[in-house]
Amino acid sequence: MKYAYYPGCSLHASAREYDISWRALCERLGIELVEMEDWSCCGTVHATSVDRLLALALAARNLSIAEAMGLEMAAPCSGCYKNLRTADEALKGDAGLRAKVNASLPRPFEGNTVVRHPLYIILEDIGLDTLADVPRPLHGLRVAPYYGCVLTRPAALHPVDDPEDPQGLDRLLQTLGAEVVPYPAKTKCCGGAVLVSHTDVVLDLTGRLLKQAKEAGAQCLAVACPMCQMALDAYQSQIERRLGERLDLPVLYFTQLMGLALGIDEGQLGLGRLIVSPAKVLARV
Amino acid sequence: MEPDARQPHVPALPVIEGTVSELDPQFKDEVAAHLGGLDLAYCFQCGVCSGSCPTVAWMEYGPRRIMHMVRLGMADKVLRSHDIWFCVSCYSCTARCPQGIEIADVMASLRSLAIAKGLAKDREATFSRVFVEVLERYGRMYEPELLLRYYAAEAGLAGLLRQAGLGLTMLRKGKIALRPERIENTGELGEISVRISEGSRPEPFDYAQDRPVEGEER
Repeated sequence: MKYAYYPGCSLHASAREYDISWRALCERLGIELVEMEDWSCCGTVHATSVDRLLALALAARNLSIAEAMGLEMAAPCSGCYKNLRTADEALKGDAGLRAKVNASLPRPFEGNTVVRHPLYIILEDIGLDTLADVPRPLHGLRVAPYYGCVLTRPAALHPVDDPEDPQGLDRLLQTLGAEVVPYPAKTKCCGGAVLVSHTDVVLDLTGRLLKQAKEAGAQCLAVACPMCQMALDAYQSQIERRLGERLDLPVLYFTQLMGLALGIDEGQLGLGRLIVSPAKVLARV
Repeated sequence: MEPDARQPHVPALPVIEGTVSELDPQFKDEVAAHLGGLDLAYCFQCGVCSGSCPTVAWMEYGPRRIMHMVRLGMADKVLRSHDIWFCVSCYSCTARCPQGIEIADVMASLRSLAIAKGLAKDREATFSRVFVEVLERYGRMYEPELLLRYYAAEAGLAGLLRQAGLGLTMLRKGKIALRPERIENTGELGEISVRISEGSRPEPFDYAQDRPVEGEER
C-alpha cells in the first residue's frame, strides 16, 4: 500500500501532531507514504472565493504531481481533501473546463489519480477486521466523533460515507474499544472558514457543539481535520469565556487515538502539542 | 454594520427599490456561467437551504432569499451583501437542496464576482485576498505574514492584540512556523494565476474531439 502524500500547509505547521501521528500509524500498518515533491497550498475556501478557476488550477497542479507518481493521493486535511477531490471530479467530468485549466499549467492534469482521506484509507484499504484485537483498546474512554463538514460534503461522485450521518469514524472508534457518544452536532460546521475574520461566529458554533458533546457525556473529541481541531482546541479557552463555563474537552486527531490503541509510543503521537491537555482523560484508559 | 450575534436579525422581505433599471436581468446568467451552466431556475424557494444554514442568524437575507435575488437580477444588493461572506462553505444547503442546486458553490461564485467588481466590503473578503497573495508569493501558506497583513488591512492593532494570547500559546506549542516554506519555483503560481486571468476569455473548444480547436489563437 503506497500513497502520494499531500500534507497541506497545516500539517507542516499548526497541525504537526496530525502529520506525526499519521506517519507513525502508517509505519505500524505497513502503509508507505511518499510526500509529494513541491506540493503547493490547495487555496482552501479563500482561493475559491477570489477566483474559482484559479482554485481549480491550484488543485490541478497538485493532482498532476500525484499523477506523475502513479499513485493515489492521501490528503489528511479535510479542507485540502475537499478542494482536491471536488476539483478532480470537476476536471474529470468537464473537458472544456479541463482544457481551460490545463492551458495555465506547466504540467497538464490528466485525470489519473484518486484523492483519498486517511480515515477512509484505513477503513477501506486496511479494514476494521485487521484492527479487531488492538494491543491497547480504548476501554472506558467516551469519545464524541466530530466529522465537521467537508470530509463528507459535498457528496462525492462515489460517496464513501453518508454526507450528513456518516458512520466511518464511529465504527473505527468502536473497533478500537472506545465508547462512542452520540450527539446531533457531529457533522455541524465549526465555522473554520471564517475563523480569523468572524471569530465570534466560530466561538458560537463551536461553543454549541462542544457543550452538546459534553452534555452527552463525552470525555474528548476525535477529529479528522486541522481546521476543526484548531477551532475546537486552540480557541477553547475563548469559547469557555463566552459560555461562562468550563469545558476542558481535549480534541484529539483520530490518528492519535488510533496510535494509542495500537500501542504506538506516546512520544510518537505528538500528544503534548495539543492545547487542551488529554493527559487526565487518557490516564483512565 | 456588524450583525449582532446574540440578537438574530429578522429581516424584512426584500423590497425592489427604485426603478427596474436597478435590476440586471443578465445577473443570473452571469452567475450560472461562472459555475459552468448551473440552472438556477430549478430553485422553487422551499427554504431548506436557509433552514440548514448554520450562520443564517448572522445574515440579512439568508441563502433562500439570496437565490431569489440572484434570479430577480438584484446584482448590486447581493454582491454588496455581507451574507455571502458569512457562508462557511459547510455544504449543508447543497446536501439538502431537493432540486440538487449547488447552493454553496453559488455563494462562492457570488463572493468572487463581488471581489471582481470591487463590491466586496466584508472583512472575510480582505482575508481571502491576502490569503491568495501570500499563497502566490511562497506557494504555501505562511500564517504569520497572512495574519499581520490581514490585521494591518482590516482589524488594526486592537484586533491583533485580542488574539495575542492565543498566538503566544501556539508559538509555545510549536504550532506557528517561524519561517515560510517555499515551493521550488515560486514564480510558477504567479504564472498560473496570470494565465488563468488571460484565459477567462472564451476559447474555442471541440467537444466532439475532447480538445481545444487546433490552429486557433485565443
